[in-house]
Amino acid sequence: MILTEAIERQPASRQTSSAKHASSQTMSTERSLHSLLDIEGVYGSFILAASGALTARDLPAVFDDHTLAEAGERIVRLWSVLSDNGAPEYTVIDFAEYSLFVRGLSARGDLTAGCLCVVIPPSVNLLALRLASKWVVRSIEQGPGALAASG
Amino acid sequence: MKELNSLATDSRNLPAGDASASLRPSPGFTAHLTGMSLTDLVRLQSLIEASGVFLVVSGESTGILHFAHGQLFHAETRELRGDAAAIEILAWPEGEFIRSERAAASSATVVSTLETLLSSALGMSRSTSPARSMAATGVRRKGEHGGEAPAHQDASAERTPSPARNLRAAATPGVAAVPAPRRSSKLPEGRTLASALVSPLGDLVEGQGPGAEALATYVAYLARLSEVIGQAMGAGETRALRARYTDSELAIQSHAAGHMFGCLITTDPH
Repeated sequence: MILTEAIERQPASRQTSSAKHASSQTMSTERSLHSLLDIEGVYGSFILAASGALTARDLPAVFDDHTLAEAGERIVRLWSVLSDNGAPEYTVIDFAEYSLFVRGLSARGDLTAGCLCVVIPPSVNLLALRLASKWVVRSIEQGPGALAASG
Repeated sequence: MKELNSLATDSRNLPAGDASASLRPSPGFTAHLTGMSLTDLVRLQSLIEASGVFLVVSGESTGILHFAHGQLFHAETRELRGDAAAIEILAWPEGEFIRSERAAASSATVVSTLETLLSSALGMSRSTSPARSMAATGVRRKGEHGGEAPAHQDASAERTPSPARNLRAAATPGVAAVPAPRRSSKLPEGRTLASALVSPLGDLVEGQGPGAEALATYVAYLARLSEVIGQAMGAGETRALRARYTDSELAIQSHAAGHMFGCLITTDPH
């Protein structure tokens, strides 16, 4: 009886542990994304997996998940096309209503780890954004402990 | 006669600077015309075999046209030079055409004939709002047409909610969501490796440098992809795209009537 309970409970506890880890990772990533709001004008940001799926977001509710999922696939395709002869450091697309800053999440900038997208007004300080996004990418790469360690 | 006397008196009472400006010796008449198209004004310079530099101002855009014996040999906007700049300027629907005192360019950048440029520009401006006109003047004035079109434009803007305005309001609670200023569309500085002006159908209109043809295809595809992203995100039309590489930068800018201009520039790695 005790053994049966133990067997039944084990996967649950593992699940809880894994869920806690995932949740902590998501929270950490969202904290990293939130730090981008320190740059004047930044509206918000989100992270796309290599498949284009939305993995984290820190954006006003004006952007629903469906919108981001729809755009996600195309954004990663654009990044992939731009990376044909080596990944760029970043790209900025200026739309009529706002701009989108994109940079790869892996050290080489390719799509293996997905990409970071930041929604910005045309007036944003691009140099500050480049530096901040670099730091965010690094902190996401290093995992949940990175932010706490960096203070 | 009384009016002429009054004009003469007024001119004598002008401040020194104004008087010197208005009385600066210049052979012939100084014209102040309204209602003419830029095409007419440019053709006129060609017809009279004029030489000189003309500043063209249209809204926030400015461009320069250099003529020598009636030939348009150099054109320049903030972002473009040569044929692409000339086509861009000649497609502007309204503004001012001002004689400039600046020195003529030392080298020619425009290679197409005026007629070719005008017909390309005409194709670009066809899809824009109703034909408006240029004012040709020696003095730059603030927009005379400001009070006409905006009335119904503002009304339509009121009817159409702007996602960006909502976004700004959501992102900056408690702060009035004012329209964001536009980023400077100036192209990055550096040596241009290749450039391509691409038609809405993806054809190369004008290219410079090796690989201009390949760049045109690349630009056309990226522009289309950006457009689809903009549509999906409700961000409106694509105006520009810049991709920064270690030692180069790809810049794509939208032009009138769906044309896209792309260039690959070497940059300082720092």
